[in-house]
Amino acid sequence: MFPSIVRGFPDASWEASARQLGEQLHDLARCANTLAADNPGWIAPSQIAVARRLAEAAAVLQSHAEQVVPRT
Amino acid sequence: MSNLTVSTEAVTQFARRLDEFANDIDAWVVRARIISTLGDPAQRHRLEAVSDDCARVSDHIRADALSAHRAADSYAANESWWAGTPGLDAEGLGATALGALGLGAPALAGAAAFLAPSRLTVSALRLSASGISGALSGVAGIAGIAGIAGAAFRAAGATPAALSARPVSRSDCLLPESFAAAVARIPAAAPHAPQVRIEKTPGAAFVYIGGTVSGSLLGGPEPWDMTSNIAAMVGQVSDSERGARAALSAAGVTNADRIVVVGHSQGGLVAQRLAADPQLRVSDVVLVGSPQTPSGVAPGVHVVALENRNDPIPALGGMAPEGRADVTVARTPQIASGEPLAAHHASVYRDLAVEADASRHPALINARREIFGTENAACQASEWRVDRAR
Repeated sequence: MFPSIVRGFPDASWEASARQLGEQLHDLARCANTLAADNPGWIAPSQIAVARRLAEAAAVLQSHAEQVVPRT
Repeated sequence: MSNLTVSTEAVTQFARRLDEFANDIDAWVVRARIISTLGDPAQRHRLEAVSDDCARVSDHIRADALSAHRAADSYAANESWWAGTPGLDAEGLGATALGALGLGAPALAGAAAFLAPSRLTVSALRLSASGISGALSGVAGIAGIAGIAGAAFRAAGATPAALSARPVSRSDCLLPESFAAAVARIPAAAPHAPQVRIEKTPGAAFVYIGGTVSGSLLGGPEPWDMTSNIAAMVGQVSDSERGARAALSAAGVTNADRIVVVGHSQGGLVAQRLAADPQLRVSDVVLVGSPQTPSGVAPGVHVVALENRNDPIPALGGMAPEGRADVTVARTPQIASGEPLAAHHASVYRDLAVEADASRHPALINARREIFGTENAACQASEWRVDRAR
């Protein structure tokens, strides 16, 4: 799902590495959103709970991505 | 709720994707912690804080994945059982038995899901949860479902069934000192037997509530029946809850008493309802083979759940929302019987309770200290039989 996590390490500077970490967090946030949308049929309350938790995860990851590598 | 088809395979695959996603986050966390050492102190501190947050996110996702795997396993096991039971497929449920009785398909299919979760029946439960809670309200609604059948359900319409709660026995007792002792005191689910046991001391009470006695949807004299299961699962007041409250009141338990509730199966559903009531001082709940309901319990109530992994009933709670049990003790007992609900029997849970007592896990040590801290305190025990009035 996320092969880029092992690419390009550790031969980069702090700035380059931090930027890559931020981009990876953006990717992870997108994955969380995709998973939330793909949540299969389930007992209704649980399905809603998991979708909500994934959406919250996406928000957290997105927020941290902005911290690590602010978008201009 | 656009897609009402639950596929065990789809749930399994989703669980794997959740696992992979958690692995990806963990990999990121590892890398971020290494890279943080390259930065200055401020950069390092900030990245470490972000890493900690992401690790917590990963933990939550992994817990969801585990729940999904467990529920999918239960569905798969029960699909096999349904497949070998002629005439009990979804069409059979919807068109024949239900049709003959005049019952709404969602209601009885919901009951079937409770008896044997599977791809078919859980789909129907989802429909029933939506249909019942949306179209009906309160006990009157649940009563109305049974009333359609023309059975002797007195509450057809808007009036809840009248209940009688009478003491069957009274005796001196000592409060339990272990999970095993508490689980052993849950009344056995049997016709005409007590459903509730109350152990009262000055200022405190232990309440034990048994599981489903009757699979009836017709509203007979037994309140611990399927109508009560459905009512509890969709967040409504059930007759078993009303019966338990009547017993509590008759036993002299008041809102000044600290209450510990121990419930098996349907008794666990009632326990959660009582624990959600801010008028009662429920401090702890022990769920024994019971689904954890979405409505949960009041803030501050501690919940310990004993769950056999091959018992499909706890899985009916699915992936419970935040605020689920503080401690869940789970294992997979060896069951010789081919009966689909063999792992659900209270007797099988006694072994799990013994394991919970023996555990040195800090969470369980704390739970035992809180729940059984007044061990060997003298109490007055009473057992209560609740009936719907004829």
